[in-house]
Amino acid sequence: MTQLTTAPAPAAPPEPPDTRPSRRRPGALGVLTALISIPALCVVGLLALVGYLGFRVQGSPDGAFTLGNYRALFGNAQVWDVVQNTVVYVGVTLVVALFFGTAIALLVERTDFGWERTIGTIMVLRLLIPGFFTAMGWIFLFHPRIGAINQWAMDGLGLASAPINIVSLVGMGVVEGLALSALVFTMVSSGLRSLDGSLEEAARASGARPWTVLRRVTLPLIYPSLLGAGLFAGTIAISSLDIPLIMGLSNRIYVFSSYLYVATNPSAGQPEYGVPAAFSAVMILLALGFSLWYQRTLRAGRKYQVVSGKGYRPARVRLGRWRWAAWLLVGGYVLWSIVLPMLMVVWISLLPFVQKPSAAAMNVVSLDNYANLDWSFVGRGLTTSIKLMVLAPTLAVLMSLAFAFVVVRSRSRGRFVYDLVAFLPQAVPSTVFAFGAMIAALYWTQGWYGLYGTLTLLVVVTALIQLAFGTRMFNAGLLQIHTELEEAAAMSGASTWTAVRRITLPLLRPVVTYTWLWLALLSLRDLTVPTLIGGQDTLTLSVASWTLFNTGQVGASSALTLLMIGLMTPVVVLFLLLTRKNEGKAIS
Amino acid sequence: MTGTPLAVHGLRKGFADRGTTVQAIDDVGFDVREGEIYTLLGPSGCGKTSTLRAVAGLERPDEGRIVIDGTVVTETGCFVPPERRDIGMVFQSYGIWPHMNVFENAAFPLKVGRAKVPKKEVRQRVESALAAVHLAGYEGRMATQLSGGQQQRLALARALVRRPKLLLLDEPLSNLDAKLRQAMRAELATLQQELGVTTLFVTHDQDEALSMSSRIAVMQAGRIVQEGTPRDVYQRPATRFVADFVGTTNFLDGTCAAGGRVETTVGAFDVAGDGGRAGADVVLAVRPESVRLHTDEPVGTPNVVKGEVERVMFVGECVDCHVRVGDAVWVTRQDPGLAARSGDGVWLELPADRISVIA
Ligand SMILES: Nc1ncnc2c1ncn2[C@@H]1O[C@H](COP(=O)(O)OP(=O)(O)O)[C@@H](O)[C@H]1O
Ligand SMILES: [Mg+2]
Repeated sequence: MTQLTTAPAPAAPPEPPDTRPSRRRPGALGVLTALISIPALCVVGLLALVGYLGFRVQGSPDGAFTLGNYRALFGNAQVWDVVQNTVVYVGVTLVVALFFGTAIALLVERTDFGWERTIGTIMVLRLLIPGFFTAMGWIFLFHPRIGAINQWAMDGLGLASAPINIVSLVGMGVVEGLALSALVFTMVSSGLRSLDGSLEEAARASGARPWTVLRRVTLPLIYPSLLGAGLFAGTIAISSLDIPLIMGLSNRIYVFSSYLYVATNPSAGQPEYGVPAAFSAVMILLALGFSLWYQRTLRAGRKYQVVSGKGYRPARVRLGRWRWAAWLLVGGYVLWSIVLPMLMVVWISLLPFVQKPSAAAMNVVSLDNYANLDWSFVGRGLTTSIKLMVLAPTLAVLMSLAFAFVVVRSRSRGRFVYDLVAFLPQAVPSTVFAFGAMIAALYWTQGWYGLYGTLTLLVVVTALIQLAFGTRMFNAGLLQIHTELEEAAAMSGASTWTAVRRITLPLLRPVVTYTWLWLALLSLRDLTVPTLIGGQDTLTLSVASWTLFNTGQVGASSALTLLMIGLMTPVVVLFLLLTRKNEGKAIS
Repeated sequence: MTGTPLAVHGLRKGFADRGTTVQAIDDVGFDVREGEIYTLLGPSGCGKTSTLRAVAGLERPDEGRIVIDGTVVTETGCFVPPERRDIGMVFQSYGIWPHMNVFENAAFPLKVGRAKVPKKEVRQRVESALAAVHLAGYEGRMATQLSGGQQQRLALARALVRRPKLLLLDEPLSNLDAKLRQAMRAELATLQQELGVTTLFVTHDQDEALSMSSRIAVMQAGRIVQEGTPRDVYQRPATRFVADFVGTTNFLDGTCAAGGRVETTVGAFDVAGDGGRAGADVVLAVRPESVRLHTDEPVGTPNVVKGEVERVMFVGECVDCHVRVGDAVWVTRQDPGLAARSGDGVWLELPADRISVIA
């Protein structure tokens, strides 16, 4: 992620010095280029398919041409509502995420607040906590009817109605924003860290007070990081299904992702693919537009490279008597975004039905929800989750390595195309990919090669989506391994393949391990793709937990979610141990 | 004026580094006089930057007292933040803001300061500051379109535009290429003299220090080991470290004898002054250019030792003639017309007044 925010290098790797005969490489790289054209075509094909379906009646590939889907998007009151809802929801998410993420990053990087490592680790953990988990926690806290705090407030203050309604658009935005603050935090911190400290110190020495330095120097200089973080967080907010499903479905507040899910999986009647396809096509266009804007900002930012020192950190601002305010912010964030929701989920998992913590409720606390779980159901989810968690990252890492080799090491014109294609799954909401893949499988794969609702489809789509992160990591990794190292091996008589196997891959191993583990964790927590691909085969633990929640078995759902967190823990610990040095890199 | 422009006393600063503490500044004290260039000279890591940053207020020393122009800015229980110190500073990497143009960079100190400067005056002062560093006409350029040398001048203009009491320079020339560095040395010194601004200058480059400074403090491991004019420091190094760090030096271990003579393994030498207490171990230090080389044995000249030419290295304006004397090889600097070759026997004369005796 460091890449996306600060060093724009992977987008346009510097031309390697051209000193060797051009005969030697093309063999191996040519084969790789041919190989990766398959996933590249899949990525582009899925997007093209979605665009095409938007112009077909009912969104069926063999339907007649129509503009009706687009007209519905802006004309149909119900659909237009969804469009507006999405804008409000994403807007609130971004305000919350950018505020908390940036503020905490500034506290950690630029003041004497301290706790740098701890906060870094907490933020990595926050990135990994499944969205539906916090969503459930917040419902138990602030649901107008069952929310504990609402109930206390009504009892204690004698209010007639609940003071806070979390199952609203703004509520959804706040919860999603709190989750994505961690993402913004990581991206902004790495932006701050790569800033030459003398730029800010020069402002101090010129007579500017800390606030002035922040406003006139620091924030303008990390603008590319802020923009990148905003776009990335916005894309994730649009694509993620968990919070909109859990917080919005019961009271029919739909945003893009949940609308897409409901329209394609109606409880009664024909599924509708046309309007969702048109909606998705608009999203693709927006994504492309924003990506272009972002790339241009990065390119402009590259001009920002003045004579730069060794990028040390500027003198820290003393918080002094404002320390309590900083504690309030950080402590409040951790408490409300992680600790309280988690405690509520634990609490509910111990109860036969939802009730606020009280002495009376203590009497009915038991482990029944765990004991009475439908273990064959859980077992199925567990098996699928583990398969997905192993297979998808492996496939993604292999593809990403191939992409990175072509992008960084080949000198063909095509490498820019591949770089762009690998960026698409990050820019375009993953919902759109899952939707396209679902329809492609439904219409074009049948019989023994039928992919609709299979684990294979889930693995492939997940891996294609993870291609963006993998390629970015490996691009950066490969750029740091100078070609001279491989050339020296070639001079020693090693073949291209031997050079890669004995020199490059071992040097890349830390990045590969890191990337694989991170992607594995993301696969495990994901609810969006498995739900949309939807089939018997794709029942992961996340989906199982959501299914229980959706059918009113809230206690069981909480218990299952906690079991899932338990399953993630050893992998997370391994991940944290391996990446102690560079927590900042951890981003989906 | 209310006192010396800068007085530093008993400054200490330690950095925690993997469990231990690195004493970056270890009891540093000095006074800078009105209008002079006072230089902190020393090898990398000796604490020059830390000292400068403490003066600027960017670093809080653990102990010590800093007074700028009669105002106490650092003392136990008192710390004036950098923005309220009357200073201008040029950073090693210049710290030119890439999102502002040349004018905005230079005008920044006037715009953010607590004293409001009227727009018209801002323009006037920025223009004259830019003119002083030969950047007139560049106002509208983006800072990123400037060359390294121009950025350096801009940094200087920005530091001077507030007309600070004290100018702080942290290796301002080290990011320039060799040719430009030479030219900027003279230019910087001239500008400083014209403006008469008191300057604290930090460098690890001895040539820079010797050519630009009014006075030099040589630092080693967080302490000042010698303070003096460039001439003093070069010709009368107080310690072996100073002699070694400032310029090339030939060392000769010896023991003081009576009558201002020093006994060494290659003979006894007369030295200027009384030479120190008899029987004391001392080190003699002689600069390469102070050694006179004779191809024939000089008669009646004191302080002569015989040696054998090992190598003659042509370095342009002179030759470095390496001569083996006993177990050691001495470096001597000679006229390029020198006729000696490897293997020739030569006589080295060490004039008594050019020998430094280091206790
Ligand atoms: N912020 C810091 N944290 C830890 N150690 C530091 C820091 N700043 C300087 N040091 C240490 O203090 C010593 C002096 O550094 P510095 O003042 O930068 O030296 P100089 O400018 O003479 O090269 C060095 O050993 C350096 O590693
Ligand atoms: Mg330094």
